Amino acid sequence: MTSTVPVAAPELEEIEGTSLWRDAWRRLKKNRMAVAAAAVLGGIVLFCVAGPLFVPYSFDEQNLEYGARGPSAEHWFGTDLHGRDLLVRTMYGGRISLAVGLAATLVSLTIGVAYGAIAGYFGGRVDAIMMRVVDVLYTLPFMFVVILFLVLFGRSIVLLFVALGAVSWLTMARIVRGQVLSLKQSEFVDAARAAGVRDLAIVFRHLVPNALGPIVVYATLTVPRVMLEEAFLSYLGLGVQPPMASWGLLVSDGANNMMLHPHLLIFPGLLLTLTLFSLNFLGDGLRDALDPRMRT
Amino acid sequence: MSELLLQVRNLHVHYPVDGGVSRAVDGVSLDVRRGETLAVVGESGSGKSQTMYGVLGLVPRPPGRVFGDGAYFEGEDLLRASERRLRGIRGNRIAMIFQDPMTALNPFLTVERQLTEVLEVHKGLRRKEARNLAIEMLAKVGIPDPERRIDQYPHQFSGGMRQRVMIAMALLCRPSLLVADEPTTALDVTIQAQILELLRATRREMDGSIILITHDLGVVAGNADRIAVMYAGRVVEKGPSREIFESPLHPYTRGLLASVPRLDAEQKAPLVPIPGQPPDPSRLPSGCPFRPRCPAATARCAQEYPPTRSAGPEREVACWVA
Amino acid sequence: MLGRVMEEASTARPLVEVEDLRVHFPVYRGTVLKRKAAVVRAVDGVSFAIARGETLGLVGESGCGKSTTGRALMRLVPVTSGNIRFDGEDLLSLRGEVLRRKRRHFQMIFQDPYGSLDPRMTVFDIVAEPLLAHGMGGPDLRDRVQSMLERCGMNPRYIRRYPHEFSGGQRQRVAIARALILEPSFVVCDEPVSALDVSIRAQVLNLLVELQRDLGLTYLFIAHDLAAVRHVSDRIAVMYLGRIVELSPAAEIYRRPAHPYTQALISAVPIPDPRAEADRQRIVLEGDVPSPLAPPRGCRFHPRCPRFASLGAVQKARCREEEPLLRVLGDGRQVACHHVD
Repeated sequence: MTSTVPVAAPELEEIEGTSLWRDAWRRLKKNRMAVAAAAVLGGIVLFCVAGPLFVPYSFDEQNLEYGARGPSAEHWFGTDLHGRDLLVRTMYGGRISLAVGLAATLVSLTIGVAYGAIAGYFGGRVDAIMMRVVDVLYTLPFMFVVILFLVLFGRSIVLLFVALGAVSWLTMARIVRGQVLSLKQSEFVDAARAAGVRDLAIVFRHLVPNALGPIVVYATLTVPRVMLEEAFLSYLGLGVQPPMASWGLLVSDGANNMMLHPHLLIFPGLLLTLTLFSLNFLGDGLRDALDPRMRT
Repeated sequence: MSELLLQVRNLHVHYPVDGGVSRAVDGVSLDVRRGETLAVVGESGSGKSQTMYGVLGLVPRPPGRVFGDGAYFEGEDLLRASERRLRGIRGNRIAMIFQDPMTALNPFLTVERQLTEVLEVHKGLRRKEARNLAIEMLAKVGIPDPERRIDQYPHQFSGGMRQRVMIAMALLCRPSLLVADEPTTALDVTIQAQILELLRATRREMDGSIILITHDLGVVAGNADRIAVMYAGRVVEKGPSREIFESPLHPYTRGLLASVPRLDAEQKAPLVPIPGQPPDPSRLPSGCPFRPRCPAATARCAQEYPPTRSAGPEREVACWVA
Repeated sequence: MLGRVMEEASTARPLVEVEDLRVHFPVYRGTVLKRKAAVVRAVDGVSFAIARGETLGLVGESGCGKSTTGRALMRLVPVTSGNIRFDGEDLLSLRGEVLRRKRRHFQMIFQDPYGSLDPRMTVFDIVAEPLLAHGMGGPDLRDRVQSMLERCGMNPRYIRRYPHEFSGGQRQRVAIARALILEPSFVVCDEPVSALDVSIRAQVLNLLVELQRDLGLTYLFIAHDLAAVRHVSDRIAVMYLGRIVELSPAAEIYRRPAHPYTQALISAVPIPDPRAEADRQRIVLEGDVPSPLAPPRGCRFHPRCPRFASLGAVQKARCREEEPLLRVLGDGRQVACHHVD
């Protein structure tokens, strides 16, 4: 066992395996709705990120005399009450909305996954204490927390990110903990422990990767939920403030002027809805692709 | 010889898979005589359970496909019988017991409900009569205190007791054929001995036949009159139990017997394993499916599937070499 | 000179010594306020020793505590009381990092080769992991993984593949390679062939025997299949309800089983030979194994014991009241029964 048997070179041609990930990817590609949703999503992201480069207006350039007008050759999406180009504002709003969704999801991925996995793996008292903390945070009304933050620290966009992130990881932590609780009964976890693998390595090398299916699915569902929450906050005047824009804010503006200027509601609303739909379809597709029971 | 109870001719059970067909059962012919125990022996994936599922109309269709020259039970071709007709036969004339009684019993119903239901459906008995008959049957299969236990739920029974309940349920309508699919695989040896003893006693009493589906050659040895050995969806060897054990003809049967450790064998006498793995039923090798693992394979084995031929009275084998 | 004496002394000492091992699991009731409702006595006073290079077989029916015993030796379940000495060292006193480092000397092969391999890892990652965990990576990591896989009968070209791409037998070979890559001296084999197809079992059993011979391994071989255990073991311990009822040389246990439970167990194992089967005397035990939550008082086997019925009143009272201890018969067999001479 100490001396290594040299292996003949031609024999060394290794045969590549198909990982469960690649399998899932293959199944995802077969799901037309999910592929279409991903394409639409890609288009929307490109539209928001690169779009402003091609529009000759800035998001806060006012023209009060021009005022709110419907779509035209100069302003494809029309203008708002202040005469600002709605196309570029929708692009900027999309940036904020997508960024909020992404940031909150990242927070829930990092904090939620680590927190839940550690609580589930170590179990016992550690688990009891960690999960009671989550329970307490859960019971705090979300709006109350956000308002408290805004009162304490003043209004800022950073705060919006923090507030949304702070609540988004709780459910993730619970989901991951549940997964880990059942996964840690697996013999491969015993095998790793018996081999002398460190606890944290077991958590992050064995447990988290095997729980990734539900994690990824929940993450894709977190993005639209957080975007809606941001829209809600903005609607209440607690989110992004003009002249900055977010889809939530634009929709709320549009809703206020729906009777006179329907285009103010239609364009941002259409994009927001399209994004939410796409994310939900993509999430469903991922769930089907990753579900091991679907394996053939 | 005595009359044939079940006659299966050239049965196929196929399932579509990615880019092909999985031949779970690939042309099986079997005879079961009245009053005998026929053991169908094979490894997982050999098609031993699927054969009986095919006969009894239990293969999910679609995706499965069942066809063949016939499966005659008491003169009636089950492959061409209506689903309604099959329901009338299953659980009545032909009863099944399974490996895991927990999945075959409904956990939300008391044992009484499940036993009497069988009698109500097939025999049209009233609840009270059915209950008395069920209690009688539970006592017969060795469940102590049946008047009380009949009102309990399946999870309140131990594994061995649950299997007894299954057997009682199977015997309620006095079937002429009992299909036991790995009936003792989930049980401990001392409990297995109890259940096998019960099956032997049952056969003596019920004046019917038993098909014993198993992978365990030991279970077969003490309990079967005749044996059919299956490999990759086909019967490779058939014959009286003693003869198969004493002079196996097919290289697979020989390999199996040599590779199983025996309690009464010389200790540490090396086991002779069969090399390789059983084939994937959707990618069977050309010719004889056992060829890649066979020590005696010749060039001919790769070209043509060996036809089943007679090898002495009551014996058949499908091999070019044997 | 002194070194040589020391060495001899250490080879004479058993590699594994287990003394009065107990593993009890509390059963909790209640959802809000949990309270201990009962105790499952999974392992309840087990003692044995395994010599270097020996294979001790551990047989018994499900729930008898054989697997828990193996897991306790691996320090995978909390031990309630007793002593485990490994190579003379008190294994139960080790904690944390010291225990983790010690683990490379004793390894385990699990029953279910599908469950014991992480489905998201390649064969290479699986077999290399123990080496990396012990900081034994090094530049020849790849070669070592490949040669170990080859030694276990796996084609090393497959190291980039995933467990689900292999059959049960091949997966078990990967699991064996992982257990042996750290060059342990002691291996617990927990039902290593039960989940495999009949025609594959002999391949894996032969491999285990061969590896033991070549690498000088010491095995605890746990299984419910008495025939397989007898095939690989030097001595066999029979467990019933958390206790060892008999511990005898493997050759003797079939020829002259001493304990009534062993006798029943052996007579229940079917032999693949109709003639042998027809000639055998069958002892069919009544009833089920009692729950380890409340094992019977006195001898745990007495409610099912076929010999019990034929005993006199005084002897019966002894079986009911006094728990028999494992005692040595003249010929090296050990048995825990009041009525065996």
